[in-house]
Amino acid sequence: MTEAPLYGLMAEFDNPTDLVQACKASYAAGYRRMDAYSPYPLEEAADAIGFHKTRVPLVVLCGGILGGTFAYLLQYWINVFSYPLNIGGRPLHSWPAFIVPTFELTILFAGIAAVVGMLGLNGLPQPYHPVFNNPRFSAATKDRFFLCIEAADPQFDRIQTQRFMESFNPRDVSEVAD
Amino acid sequence: MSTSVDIAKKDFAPPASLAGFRNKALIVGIVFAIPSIYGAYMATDQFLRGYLIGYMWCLGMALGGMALLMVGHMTGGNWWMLGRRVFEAAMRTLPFLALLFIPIVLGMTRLYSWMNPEIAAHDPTVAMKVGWLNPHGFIIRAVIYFALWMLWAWKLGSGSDKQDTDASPAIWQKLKVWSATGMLIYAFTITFASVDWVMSMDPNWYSTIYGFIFIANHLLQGFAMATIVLIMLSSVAPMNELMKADKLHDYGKLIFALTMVWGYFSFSQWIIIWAGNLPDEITWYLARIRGAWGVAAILLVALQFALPFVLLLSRDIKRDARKLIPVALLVLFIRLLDNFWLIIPNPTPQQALHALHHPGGVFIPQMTIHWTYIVTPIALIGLWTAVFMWFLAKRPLLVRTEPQLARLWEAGHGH
Repeated sequence: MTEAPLYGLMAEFDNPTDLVQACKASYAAGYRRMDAYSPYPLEEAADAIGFHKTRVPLVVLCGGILGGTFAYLLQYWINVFSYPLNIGGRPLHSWPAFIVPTFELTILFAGIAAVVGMLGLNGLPQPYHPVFNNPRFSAATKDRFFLCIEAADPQFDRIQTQRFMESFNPRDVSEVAD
Repeated sequence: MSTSVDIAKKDFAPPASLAGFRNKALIVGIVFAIPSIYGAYMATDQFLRGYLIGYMWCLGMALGGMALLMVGHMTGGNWWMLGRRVFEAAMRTLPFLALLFIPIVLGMTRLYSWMNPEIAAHDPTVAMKVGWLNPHGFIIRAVIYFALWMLWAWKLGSGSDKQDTDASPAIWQKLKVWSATGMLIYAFTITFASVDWVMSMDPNWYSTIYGFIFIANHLLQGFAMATIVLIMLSSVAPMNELMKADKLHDYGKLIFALTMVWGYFSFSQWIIIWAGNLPDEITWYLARIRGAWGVAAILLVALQFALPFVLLLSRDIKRDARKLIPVALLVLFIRLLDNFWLIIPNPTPQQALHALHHPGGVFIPQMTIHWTYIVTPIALIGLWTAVFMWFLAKRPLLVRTEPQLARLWEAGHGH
């Protein structure tokens, strides 16, 4: 039997501050191919591992603008061209009345854009990810914080990297099979 | 690797630089108070209207601080632990604001046309409202509002003082009860007070969302104030360790949210009155959207809603102190413009009397910017800020017995 290929090494912490410090130290030591896992969003950890910005906000903004423009033009077309009605002697193009649906469709389109954009850009749904091969990893959704340095990192060395990660005093450092 | 922060070793003393800010504010207040007092004699009517603009702004700071303090007692949160003493310092200025209310009482017959006996007797709408709109009721209600606000400010403030040394849960429990009841009291009193002090300047007009617009104004002011003060304090301990990007982000988001609440309430009032288009309601807007007042109205929508909304969409602006401060300052400045737009277009008692004698037609005011509309608010803001800074400098900036306090030093998460 050949040894299973290695995905990386995973350190387990029981609080967010240690994880962030480990992330910072790893980044400073030159590691780039790594990821941090926590039960809730941890912005400092994302910053520490050099997480770049996503384009989801831009997608949401475009969705919102599209929705608002669409709603306003739709009402304009209906009220001015398609089915003009005299309502209380107001002009056919009565913008205050158009604002509420415009607002609603802005939110709707921005919300849909957020979900679709998020799924499109983050690669979900993803049925398989090697980190789940580590049996301890299930705690990442409860009360543990993980840092995984991938074997694909050019600096990765099975022995040196393990020693380096143990220097953070984690609860555990274990291998993750690919 | 140790993660616990030793709270006992931290120093929460307010920095000495607060005295410098306080003195500067005091000097501004006094320098502008001199022409204001001159204006009070030479142009009493205009002075009083300018005074009301500045007064409602200062009151918004104090009540906004108190409201956010009470909200925080209910919800908790990093923003609240950080800003608590700032909100309390604003709240503690309420007795000073009760004192500053005296000129409004002295000049009330020049501010509110319904106090004129002829209008109260012969204007058909006002005649039906004299049960509420009468000078005695006005004074008695003002006393009640201030008594309630000061009682709650005293209870919330004295409990907080004890918490610097006493960690007993009983104090927390008591403060929670006072906060829960206080939020209810605040919602009612500010609704009545805003009707009495601002809305009734046009006694023919009414809007039921008016009080909630004032609540939104106050919360917006409270968040903008806390943002500015906390950033100002962040050059020295303890705030230099705490006012990181994630905390700024929280405050940026809160200002953003309240910007939308303000827009939502203001637009709700507008669309209902616009859709109804009834003479006794729409005239209030007609006076405020025509000519130069229309420019002010558009500026209000652009600068109190559209611009902060677009700017605060950006994550980078919310997380950068140097970019967030101008937005918060803009919000506080536009609160003054809003008060100006609410107060000045109302008919003066003379104009209301003239309209009573010459019925028919819609009252469309000219925009006149009297110099007292500018110097008097600045004087009040200067004096209020000095008192606020004085209270802020009297107590530690954080509450030492707060059980969750160590969370503020932890890596950014939680809101």
